[in-house]
Amino acid sequence: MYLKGIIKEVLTYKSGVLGVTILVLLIAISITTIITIPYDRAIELWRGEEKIWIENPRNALPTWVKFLTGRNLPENIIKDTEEGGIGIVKAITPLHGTDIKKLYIEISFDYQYDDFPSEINIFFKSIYKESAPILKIYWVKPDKTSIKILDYVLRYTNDTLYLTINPVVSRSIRKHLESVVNGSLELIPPINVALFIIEDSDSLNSGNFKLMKGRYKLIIEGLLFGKDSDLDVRLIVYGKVWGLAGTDNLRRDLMIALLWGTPVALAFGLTASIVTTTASLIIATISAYYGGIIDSIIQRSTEIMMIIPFLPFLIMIDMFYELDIWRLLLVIIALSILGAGIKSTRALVLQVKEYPYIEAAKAYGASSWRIIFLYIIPKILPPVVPGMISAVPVYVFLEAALAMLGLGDPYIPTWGKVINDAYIGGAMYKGYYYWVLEPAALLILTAFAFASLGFTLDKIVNPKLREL
Amino acid sequence: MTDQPMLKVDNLKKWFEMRKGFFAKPVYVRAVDGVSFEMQRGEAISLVGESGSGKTTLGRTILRLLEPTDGKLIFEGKDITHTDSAKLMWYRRETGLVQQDPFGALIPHFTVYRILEEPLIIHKIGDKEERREIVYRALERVRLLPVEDFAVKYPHMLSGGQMQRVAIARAIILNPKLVVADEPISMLDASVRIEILNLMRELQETMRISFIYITHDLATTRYFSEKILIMYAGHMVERAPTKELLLNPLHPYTQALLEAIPDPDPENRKRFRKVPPGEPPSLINPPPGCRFHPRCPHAMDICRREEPPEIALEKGHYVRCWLYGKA
Amino acid sequence: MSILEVENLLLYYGTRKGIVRAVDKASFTVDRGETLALVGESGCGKSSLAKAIIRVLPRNVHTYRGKVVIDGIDTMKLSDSEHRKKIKWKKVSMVFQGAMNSLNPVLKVGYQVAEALILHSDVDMEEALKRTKEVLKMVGIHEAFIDRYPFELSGGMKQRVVIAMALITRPDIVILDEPTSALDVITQANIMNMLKKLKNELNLSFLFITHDIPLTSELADRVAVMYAGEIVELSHADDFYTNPSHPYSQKLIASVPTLRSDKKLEFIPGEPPSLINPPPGCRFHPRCPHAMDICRREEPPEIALEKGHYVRCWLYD
Repeated sequence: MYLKGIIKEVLTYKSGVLGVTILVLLIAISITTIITIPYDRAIELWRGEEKIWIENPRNALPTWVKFLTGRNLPENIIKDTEEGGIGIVKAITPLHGTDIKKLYIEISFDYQYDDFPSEINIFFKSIYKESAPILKIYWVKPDKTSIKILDYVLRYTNDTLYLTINPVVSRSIRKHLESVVNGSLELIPPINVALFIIEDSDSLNSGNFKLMKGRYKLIIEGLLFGKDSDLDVRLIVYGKVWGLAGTDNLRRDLMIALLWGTPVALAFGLTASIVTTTASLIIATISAYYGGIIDSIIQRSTEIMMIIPFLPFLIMIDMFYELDIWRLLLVIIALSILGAGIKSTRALVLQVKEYPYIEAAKAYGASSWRIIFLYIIPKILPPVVPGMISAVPVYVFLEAALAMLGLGDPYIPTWGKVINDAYIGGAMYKGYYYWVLEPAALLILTAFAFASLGFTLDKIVNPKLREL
Repeated sequence: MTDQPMLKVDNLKKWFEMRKGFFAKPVYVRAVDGVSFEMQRGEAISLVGESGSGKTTLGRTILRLLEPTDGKLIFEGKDITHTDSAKLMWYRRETGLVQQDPFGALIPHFTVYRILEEPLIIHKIGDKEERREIVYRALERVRLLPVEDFAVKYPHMLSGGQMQRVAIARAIILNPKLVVADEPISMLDASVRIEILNLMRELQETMRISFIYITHDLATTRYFSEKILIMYAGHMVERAPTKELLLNPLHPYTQALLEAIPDPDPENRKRFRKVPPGEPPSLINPPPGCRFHPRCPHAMDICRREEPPEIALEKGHYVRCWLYGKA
Repeated sequence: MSILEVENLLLYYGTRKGIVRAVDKASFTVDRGETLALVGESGCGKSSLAKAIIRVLPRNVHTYRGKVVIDGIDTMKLSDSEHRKKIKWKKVSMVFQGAMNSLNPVLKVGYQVAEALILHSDVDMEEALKRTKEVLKMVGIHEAFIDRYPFELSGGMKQRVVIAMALITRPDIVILDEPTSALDVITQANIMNMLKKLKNELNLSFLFITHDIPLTSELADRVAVMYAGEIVELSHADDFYTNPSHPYSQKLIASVPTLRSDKKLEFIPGEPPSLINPPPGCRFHPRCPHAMDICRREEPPEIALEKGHYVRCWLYD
């Protein structure tokens, strides 16, 4: 009943509405995330290597960037002979009198995007007993230009051909392009570009590559050995955008880290703040109430703790002990309890201690513990709450800062860790700004929400700050 | 039925230690410096004095919220002068306190019901049902009706007078024998004061509670108490039955007090009041001899040298003043 | 000759909970050398009325109008800076409630009193200190105290200092808001003696605000009773204490314990009303033993009983 009144009053302030709205959003995200992607699954996904993420483009921007820039940035095009569909032809013709079968696969797709793909991979799924299939791979552009890119023998049943980093393919393309230009070229476009450019001498020579839009074909001709042998092909032409948040250099969907970072940030910040504030509150009250030597010990200890530089000390401990996130939380709490909060709370308690109702309580026989916990602490709680709320982003940023420095928990996906990954991955250098901006934006949003809420609560609790 | 008084205060002293520095010799504020009197069950007395007279300290010391420095405090024959706080729970049940400031006297985050229930819970009285009965009955006694409405209110929803009633209810809820009321009406509006004073009078009579009514306002004492005790600078300078004291003040300080208090009389503005100048002395270094002598119009040589003893006169009238000779 | 004329003075504050009608249509006059006492319980608006007269207003003022004529000058027509130059501490000064606790603890007493003069006139420090010694002597403080700090003074002396600060510019009328409330009874009597002396010697006018009715008789020539923001009775001291007219005044006098007479005390049931939503009609009607039908509907006007005696009550219509 007390709470409802407070919530109602908070909502009368604009800052309160803002803070609460964002906070509710963040909590909703947290709960949804925890339910839809349970913790173990999230860790599994985040630590999962290429196997899990292989079908995502690397360092892809978020899909909605397309609408911002107006350019039709490419998305993944996936064509699979197993799944079939338009533009997929697969024919297996056994050679009469042998175990050998002739294979013809033609995969065509329409490419209308405004930018080159980032990568092209071919995933093979084959069945064979002893001899692997032998393949010839051709690439046909919309203007009917055909390039033989590669002769290939499958190395294992589930082989992958990374076209865009294959040196043989690279050489084939160079030969092809130089023949077009009739000379040597200084600038050979990378494979993902070369397979999609308009091949005219001017652009090839100047380096001003232009994208050819239209229908492309991947043709695979080959021989299969063995009665039961078979080959299916999955072609992925990787785009430059993916998902709601893009991907990182390990192709991981950043949404996972961003989503999961939310409950981690909230839990970390709230736990740190609530535990520290509550413990400080109780210690300060005991210190002020009893006075004398208890007060002296607690105050001197607090002063010593206040002198110790918090962040450097924390960094030292983290470096020595390589703390995981929950032990880090413990250390931060331990270092924060005997802090400035104790001094201000103590001043408050010294005032409240002189109130008549405390003396009255002694007159009717209340014990010191009863007075401290039932009469004093609930009274000083309201002025302390705004500070507690406002302190949450401090701890959230603290964890993020440590993670950014590489001292955070390497396993849990947190916002700070994403920024750290971005830093290591050279994001700012390579222009992958979204990689840094997205977690940063969430950090700032969280800080803003708690700060607004804290400020509003402060106005409510501190009548002097109110505009009459 | 014994002849002994309910409360016996014998040469009670309460000094506060003040250190001017870590290595300095301590000085003492001699707030209560030798006070003696007795109280019977059901009696109402007024303890009158100005600020700094020691009346508040005396009240607190009698309730054992402070430990006496010297002298004796005896309640129903038991010497509680230096008893350990922990062993005084029974005394807490027998006593109650009403304070001056109604606005700070109630726990702000508790309902009236909970505020009144606390003493019962602490002294383990009754179960939940029985406590409810007792709380409601207490609210009835202080005329906060309907009780169900008031029980669920918070202190900030009450007026000053109502808050003081709750404080009084709290003071009597354990059925004490003695209640100390420290300036209980001075912070209330004029129109409300009499109500509260009447209420306390009524409770005193129906519940046979002894009241020590601490005040600086002599005018209210005639409406409340049978005896008046006058304090000055830590000493009890005069005590007598109320009517006797008001008709026949003997100590020059009492006389000054009475002279200083105006009644609503339009002639007042045309004349000056004959009151001594100056202010009460410091309690750290009180003047030698009688503490009132620097301001006393009748100060004699002996007053400056020796503290006067308490002299008993007739009609239960005691004075601490050399003007009345030795006992 | 009147030194202060107040006519239909209004002061409303705006708060989150609503508009507080602290002063509602106050009208009265004070002659030269006369003391008018303003009595009422806490929250009746008497302090607000004083502040409205001297124009010391808080930030959340909602309405402030009426006529305040001091020594012939219509002060409401003056701008804030003109008011500060010509009126504040020139014609009227004020001793605020609890002022003795608001003395600057780090400045010497003499400096603070002199400052009151320097801020409001063109004298230099030397002249100001000379005047300071004079005025301190007037209020009964030895001139050696100009070099002391407030903490070295007792309560009574601090109050005298604050009164000196209000007198040093030789105003025509001084507003005293609860000048003795925190003081001992004997000190109070001494201060009242001092004020009586000043009243006689300097022909000073006082507006004496307090909740302590017997105390008003020490100084007041006339008495104004305030209830819920309105002046409900304005009467001469000789009549007021023995024969108050308004039912509220009657009950108020009946509720005050007297030292020298044995009288039956009465109390007023209920509480003073909120100034945000005062009761309709006469604001006292919920607690009035003589309330009639018209009292509940219409606000009574000011009715003159005789010269200088007004009541706001339907009983006298």
